[in-house]
Amino acid sequence: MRAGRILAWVAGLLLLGLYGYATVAAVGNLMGMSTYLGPLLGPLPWILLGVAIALPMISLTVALLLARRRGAGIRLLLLATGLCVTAAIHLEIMHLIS
Amino acid sequence: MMAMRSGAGDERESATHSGWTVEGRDPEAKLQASADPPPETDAEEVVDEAASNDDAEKSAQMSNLTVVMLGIVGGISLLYAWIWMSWAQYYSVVNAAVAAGSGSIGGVLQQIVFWIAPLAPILWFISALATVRDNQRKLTAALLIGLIVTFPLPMVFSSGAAL
Repeated sequence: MRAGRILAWVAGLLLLGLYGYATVAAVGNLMGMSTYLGPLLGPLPWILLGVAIALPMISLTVALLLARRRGAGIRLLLLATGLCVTAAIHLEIMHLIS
Repeated sequence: MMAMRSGAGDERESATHSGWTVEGRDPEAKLQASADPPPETDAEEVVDEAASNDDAEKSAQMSNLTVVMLGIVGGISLLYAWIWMSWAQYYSVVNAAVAAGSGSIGGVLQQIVFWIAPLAPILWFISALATVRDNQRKLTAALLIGLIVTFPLPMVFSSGAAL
């Protein structure tokens, strides 16, 4: 029972770390884009890059809200889903900008 | 009236199929027999049985329409995952360059965050099924939102590059 709880927390923290990394990567993406092709970018790419930064936090919040009062397994599942959706939309944004 | 008779003493005319006879005891006698239950049946057992029957009915109560919808949406989710996978492969070179430039830990994290993208449609489907399975409206809404959110948009904007 206790081992299960520790395992769930470790998995949850790893997922949180990946959310954090996704944010950092999006910020890095914005900075890189602005240094290399800052003047060339129109308004839409800037908006998309901003959305990419906000997205991990938004999906994390939504996943945690939906997972309220549910078991650890469901909570982890929802967190993982949020992360995957974030990754997919980041890929989408990368495709739209490049 | 024509009737097939077997010759046994206790025959009566069938109410549902006129002209046929039903072999066996008198219906009233049967009713009486079932009215008083066998003495060895415990009352608690009966209650337990009823409860488990209710549970089984509740969990198995998924309409045909829902099952069809689950099949269709599940299939589309798998298709989405396939398309996402082809896009991830298409961009894997770019991603590898990014990963190479972000240090040892950053590189691993970058690869993870990049390659989990194709799992999004499948995980959304499983999540919807795991959380709002009992509520048909919510399930439909969750699956529809999933189909919109995890739609592989790159496919539309430049077809031919990967898929």
